[in-house]
Amino acid sequence: MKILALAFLSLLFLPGCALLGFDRNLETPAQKLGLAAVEIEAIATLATNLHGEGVITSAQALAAADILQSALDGVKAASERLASGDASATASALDGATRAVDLVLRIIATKQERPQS
Amino acid sequence: MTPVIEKMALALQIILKIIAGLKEKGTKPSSILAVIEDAIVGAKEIHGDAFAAFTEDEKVGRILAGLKGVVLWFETEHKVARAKLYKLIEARAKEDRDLDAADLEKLVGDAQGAIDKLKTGATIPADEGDLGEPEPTPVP
Repeated sequence: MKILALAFLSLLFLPGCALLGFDRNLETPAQKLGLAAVEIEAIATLATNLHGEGVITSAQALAAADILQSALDGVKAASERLASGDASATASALDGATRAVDLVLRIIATKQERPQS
Repeated sequence: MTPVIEKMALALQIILKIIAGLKEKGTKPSSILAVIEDAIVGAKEIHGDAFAAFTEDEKVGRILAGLKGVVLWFETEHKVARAKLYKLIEARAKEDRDLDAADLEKLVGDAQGAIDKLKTGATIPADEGDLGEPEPTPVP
């Protein structure tokens, strides 16, 4: 019964989960790159909060930061190329950002052994 | 790993499985129920011992509180991020134009600031998960 209760109550929070994932309604390359940037910002803030609460370790937080930094570098480069009329880097930057967000979520959820003091 | 952190990790994994399932199967009520069921069964197979703890009222309360907290974080951060983007897109639409290089530079700069904050925070020793024994929590 407890499991059923957990499943039922989880339903109440699903609208929040549904916010995750990239919005397919944004049409232009600039809008998509903008969304990639704000997604990266959001997941970095989330990781910061989780680290502050002790839910993830410093190693996990640093790994998340590295992954997000790499993705953001791609978004930044694609934005610069887009400004000069070249949208060819947009797709790979979006793909990189999507994978980065997914990777960081997986890092957050990965079981960690307590550090040895 | 402490029991509390183990439960938080388990709750997060359940959430991730639910999110992945929703992306794959859609958001119809029947699909959602199936996705949740799959996620919980999958989590039970992976974390049998931790999952057994869910049967105790107090621990279920802790998990639900953790689950709610994490999802609220997701919701809050993504709402804030998207609201900022949509507001910007709307403002540019009123000017009959798309986001420009300066807009993207600003958004990228904000993201860089968030990453820098994460890096800085990660260099400060956090409470590495030792939250102590769970406080008795009423079952919702």
